Amino acid sequence: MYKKITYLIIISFFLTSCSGTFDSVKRGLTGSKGKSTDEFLIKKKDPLILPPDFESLPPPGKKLLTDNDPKIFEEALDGDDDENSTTSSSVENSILKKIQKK
Amino acid sequence: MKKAIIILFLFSIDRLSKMYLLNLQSSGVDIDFYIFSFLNFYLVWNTGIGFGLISMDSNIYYHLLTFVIFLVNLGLIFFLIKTNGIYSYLIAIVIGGSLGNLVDRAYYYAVPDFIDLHINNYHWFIFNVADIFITVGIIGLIITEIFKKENSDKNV
Repeated sequence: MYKKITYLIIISFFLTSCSGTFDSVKRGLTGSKGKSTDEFLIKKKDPLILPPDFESLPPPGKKLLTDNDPKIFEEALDGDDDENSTTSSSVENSILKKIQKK
Repeated sequence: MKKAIIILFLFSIDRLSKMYLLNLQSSGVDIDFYIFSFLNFYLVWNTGIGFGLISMDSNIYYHLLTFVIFLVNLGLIFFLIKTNGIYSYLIAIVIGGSLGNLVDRAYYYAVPDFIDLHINNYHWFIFNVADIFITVGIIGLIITEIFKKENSDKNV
């Protein structure tokens, strides 16, 4: 009887094809299916430090005037108009005076 | 005739399961998905024998192993013809499964395994439908052998 059972077990090894001896054990022990990143490829990060001009920075919550703020453009445009108008009028006057002299 | 039908039926179930999964893979589906929390399908190819033993890259050894398995199958067919009763039916179940694996070995040069039983992260060996039939048949033959021995002891 034992001989027959032994033969049957040996035969079953040849007929079955369950696979992954190493792979499934490894998967079972590690609990991972995919390839993990090589730990030696991970770059070591520098420690966190404060920037040198940290004290001069505005406190959080304070509204900053940025380049996109429309008020800046409006003010600049207003100022430019006045300057342009005065310069243009002075140029006009000088030209007119020269014409009148002639 | 009944035994031939059993062999053909089990062989067909095994072939259909393998063809379904291989077609699924060829259509772009990755065969790595869960059916239940304890069972998932994960396709691997086995060039060796049971439990991934004697897996090799060498063609000569692979063909030699396939020839040995072919001889084992011939031996089983011989026993099937010679025996009667429950023995012959159990041998038919074993042949139904083993022919499925033998055809894969001849056609794909490897056997596709995909049934991955596991408890949490502890996995059993990945197997296929043919392996289930072979295991059921072999366990049945062992149990029959044990009971036969017990009955003969009682009669004495």
